[in-house]
Amino acid sequence: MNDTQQAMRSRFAFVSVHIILPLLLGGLIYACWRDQNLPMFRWFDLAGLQPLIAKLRIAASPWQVKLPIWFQFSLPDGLWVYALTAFMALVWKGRDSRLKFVWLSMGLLLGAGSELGQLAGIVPGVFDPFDFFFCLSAAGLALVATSKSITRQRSTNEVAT
Amino acid sequence: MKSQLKRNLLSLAGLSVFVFLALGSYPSTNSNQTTTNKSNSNAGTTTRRTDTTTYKNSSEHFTGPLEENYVDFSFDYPSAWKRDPKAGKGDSPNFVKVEQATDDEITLENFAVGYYTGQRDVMPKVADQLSEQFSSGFPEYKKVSQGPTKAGRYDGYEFRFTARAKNTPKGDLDIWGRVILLPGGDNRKGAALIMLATSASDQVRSVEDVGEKGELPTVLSSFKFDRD
Repeated sequence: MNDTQQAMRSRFAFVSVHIILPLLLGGLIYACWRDQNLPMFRWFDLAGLQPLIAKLRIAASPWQVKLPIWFQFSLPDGLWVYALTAFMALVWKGRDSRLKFVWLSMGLLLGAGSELGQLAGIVPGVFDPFDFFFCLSAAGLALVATSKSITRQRSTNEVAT
Repeated sequence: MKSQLKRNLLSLAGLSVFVFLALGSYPSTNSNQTTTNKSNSNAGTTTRRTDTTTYKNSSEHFTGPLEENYVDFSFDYPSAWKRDPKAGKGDSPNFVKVEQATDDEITLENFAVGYYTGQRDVMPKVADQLSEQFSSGFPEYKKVSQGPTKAGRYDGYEFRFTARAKNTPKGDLDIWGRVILLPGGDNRKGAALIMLATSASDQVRSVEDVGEKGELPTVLSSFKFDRD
């Protein structure tokens, strides 16, 4: 396997694990247990996925009582922040610039920032300390996890070269 | 330099996709405009656009438990719906009840707001107790689900139930109910939102549709506490 293939494979693995998987998991939580009065359910209708979603919700309904509230309401926010921070980490890997830090903090700014905005009354909604905690932790976790992954990926490539 | 620009553009495109995905989970809100005003004994009501009316709870005239557990809230409801004059008076457990009914008084959909004084952690237990109470008021009552939910901008806890009314002017009817408990905040008490729909409605077809289809979603998404 040549270097380009190796790099492509590593990048695909990174995108799958750190970006697509968290987004899918967050989306699945919404699809299974959240109120259907959300725009995404109209999107599912438009995409012809409504029957599948209905089956999924019926199958997942016994879990609704058992799952903690944070799992259904705060975790998806955290997963979104994680995926966005990981995406930016991938785009800006190996670069050192001020802009990099602006983009890297975008997940944190939008996630935790909007919660603080709610607390200050300038963003619609009600401040939830759990949401805030999850957004904060997710951004930190994404930076740690992706920096390790990127370092590992780079050292593998260096050995391969 | 070229690489920097490429990364910026990629970041911007990625951010747009993420924001788009986030919008899918953002509760839709009612943005009707105020046109005329009305008033009545318990509530200030404002007619918005031509098809919705705003109910705003007011502490005047409530007595007993409703007075003790009073909470400020408001919501919009279709102007064609009627307010139940008995709600908020006497032994009524509800501050207000609005209803869409047929000419022969068969409920299509209705929405009532009662008080809830418990906090978040006891909601599952209170839901069980309420369900027990409801079971004696509806024939063939059956609770079909319960768990966390969202009402407009608020996190709550709900249970849904089915029942059956026999020999109505429209024959046997399925009754579908959904009760959402919203916990109190630092400066206010909570509320219980009670929604009912029947198979006489041509838009609501199952218990899953209560508050999701028909006209109840407009009411539910507009509900807000006036003191958060």
